[in-house]
Amino acid sequence: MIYFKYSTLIIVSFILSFLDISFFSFLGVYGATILSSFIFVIIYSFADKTKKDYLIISLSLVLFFSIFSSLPLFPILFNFFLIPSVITYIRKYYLPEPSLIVSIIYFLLATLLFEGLLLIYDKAWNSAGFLTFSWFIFINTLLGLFAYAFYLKIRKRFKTFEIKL
Amino acid sequence: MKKSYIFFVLLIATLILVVSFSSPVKSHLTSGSYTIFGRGLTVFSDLGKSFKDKITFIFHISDLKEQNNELTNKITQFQVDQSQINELEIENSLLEKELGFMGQSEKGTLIPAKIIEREPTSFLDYFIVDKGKNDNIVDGSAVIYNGVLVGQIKEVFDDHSKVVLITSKDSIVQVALQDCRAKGILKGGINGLFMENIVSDTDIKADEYIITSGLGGKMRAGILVGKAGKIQSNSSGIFKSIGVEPIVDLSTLELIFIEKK
Repeated sequence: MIYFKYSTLIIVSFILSFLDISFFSFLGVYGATILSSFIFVIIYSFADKTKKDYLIISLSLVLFFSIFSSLPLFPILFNFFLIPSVITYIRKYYLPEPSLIVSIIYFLLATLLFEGLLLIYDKAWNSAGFLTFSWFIFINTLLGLFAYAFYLKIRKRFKTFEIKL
Repeated sequence: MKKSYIFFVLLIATLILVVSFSSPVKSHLTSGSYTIFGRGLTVFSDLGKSFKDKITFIFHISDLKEQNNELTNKITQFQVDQSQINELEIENSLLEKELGFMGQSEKGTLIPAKIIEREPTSFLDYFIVDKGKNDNIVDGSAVIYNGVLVGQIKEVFDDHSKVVLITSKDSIVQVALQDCRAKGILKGGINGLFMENIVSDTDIKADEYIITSGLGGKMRAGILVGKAGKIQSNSSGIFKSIGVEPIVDLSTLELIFIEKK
């Protein structure tokens, strides 16, 4: 069962990174695209009860982006491994489970760090670079928020169902 | 549970290390992945494009009438231009015959190619196209859209290739100013496109066209690249550089042409 769970997480990570480089890469606004894999790993680091399964997704995403992307290992590790790890750490010791409002701050900071690193890495501090930077934060924070709200709603419904039983 | 968890984490971490520190393994894995999932990538990229087209269409529906008028005017203008070009072609062929320059045309064959993957991160100007070694694509070939140079082939695999756009900081193209014939190097980067290494006494006209010079032998001469913009460097130096305004919107590319050598 555990093997099935971990294999599923790896497959989902692969599908999302696959969608990011194909489907979502064509839905850009001013060069900023949706990064569903990043949103997924952030939500998983909020929601993961074991506080360690997120690592499977995180490392899988690092692996897939190392294969598909031209970026070197450091920015990929920082974005897909370090950011979710820090969120899990904060969750573990300071904020057990973020509310919808608090999650906005998490998403804002996570996307800001993600795109900020790429902005610095590519030395793209011109007006076009900052426009892309702003749109990336806006789009992915908004979508992350919707996805997290959707997850909370589903979980609430599932819990009610359990209680009724 | 603990053992299986450690097994999975170690397995993925090992793979990451192998992929990151062994270029041949990474190259084989990337190439293999594109071979296996290339068709799937094309399907999802097409879906993304058509989805974006639909959204763009809805948002720009009000502009259509205005665009239609503009296009009608442009068609008329193009018809006039075309007739002039036809006249010039006839005149040119007559002159070539007279001068005995009836050699083979320099123009290579254009191979249409679809963009199947873009760099998922925002700032790197690379994309992957669905043509590779099997279609006789070679490293350094010119990538053209609407007759204008948009990039060049950076890396060739069996059935796909990596294209670097002219706006990328990794791109260098040998170019020339069409009217004054001064040569230079086209470079991309964070502040846009620039033509560098132009001899300082060159008299550059405003909006002068910039074309490939053919130097270096990687691509043929005469492919349109862009228009001359502002002069960037002080004319007191040995060389000066100018800003280059691209003619094609590089963010909307979907189907491009690769020039076969």
